[in-house]
Amino acid sequence: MTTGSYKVRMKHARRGDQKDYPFYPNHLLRILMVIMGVVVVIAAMSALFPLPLDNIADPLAHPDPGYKALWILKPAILLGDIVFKPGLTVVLIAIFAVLFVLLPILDRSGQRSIKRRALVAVPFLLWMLFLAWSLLLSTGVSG
Amino acid sequence: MSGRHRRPDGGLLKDLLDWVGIRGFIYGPLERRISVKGALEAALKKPIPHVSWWSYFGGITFLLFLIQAATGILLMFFYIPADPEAHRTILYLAGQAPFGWFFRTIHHWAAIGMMFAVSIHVLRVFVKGAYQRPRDLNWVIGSALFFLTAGFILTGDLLPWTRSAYWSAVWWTDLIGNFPVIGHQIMLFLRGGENVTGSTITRFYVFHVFGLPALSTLFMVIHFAIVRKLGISEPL
Repeated sequence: MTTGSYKVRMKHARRGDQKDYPFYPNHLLRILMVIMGVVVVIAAMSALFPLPLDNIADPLAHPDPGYKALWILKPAILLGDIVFKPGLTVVLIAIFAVLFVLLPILDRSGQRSIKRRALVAVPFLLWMLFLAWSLLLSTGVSG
Repeated sequence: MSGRHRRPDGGLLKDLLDWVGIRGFIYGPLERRISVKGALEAALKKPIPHVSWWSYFGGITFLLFLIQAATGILLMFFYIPADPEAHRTILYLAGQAPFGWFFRTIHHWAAIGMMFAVSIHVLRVFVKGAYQRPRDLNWVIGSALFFLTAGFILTGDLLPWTRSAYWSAVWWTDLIGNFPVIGHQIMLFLRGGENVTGSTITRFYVFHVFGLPALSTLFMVIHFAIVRKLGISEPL
């Protein structure tokens, strides 16, 4: 086993000098750091941004024109605005979902180079940024 | 007690203390039956390939799922899934129940974090091409977990029975209702009728606290079992 500091050992590992490490201490410490980080971030977000509660729902009232849709629905709403027909919108979403699940069947080349998937990876990344943007716009939604 | 019956290793009292103390329990009676120490040592020494920080997002998603389960159970102590009690109980929870606002907010932010963590996890698997054989089945199960996470957010959003939540639920269930042939039936099943009402809250509550968690747990067990069998995908 290569000796030296954690940084040096990881550098060797990246170069391919050494492939595997024992779970303890390297991986265990990293996992503990990640757990601590996640718990601190979630607790801090909860303490700093308490969730306001919207008024009670009234099914008999007309929709409030200023209401903010659930952030996760924003991509679907945008798609609905583009294609205009709700039937087509839901069919397109279903097709996307099926293609997403069946990806290993569609791509059986066995090649793992990123170049082959860059064209799909970029829109995927944009979709995630769009979700994040929707979330920022929807702050203060019922919850 | 006569010396004839005294046990050589310290007697009954030590044995009892061994059972009470965790360390004693692990290295004492339990160790004699199943080799805890050996299993622990094997787990700690198990060789793991060097992985980047991006590889931790699957585990982060699982951690957030556990946080959701814990805070969700606490919220269940107060919540009543009916109209108008749903909103009243959330109002009580947010304003008067001890630390109610905090657990509710943690539940909210952890849900958002879970969606982003699972998205980053999916993106990493996609970019690295780790969905290809022999991990193709794991991709299918993982993508089902991705949609289940979205399902948690969609069903959980209606539970406080607020205006925004109501119109969001109306919009997306209506959208599903437009799906050819079976859409309307699915919409009726989700809503419990033609409209979003109190019975919709009850149904979404059942999906949110029983149906989706049960399915997610089942898929996660299979997902982790496959990861354990095949190992983490090697770096490119």
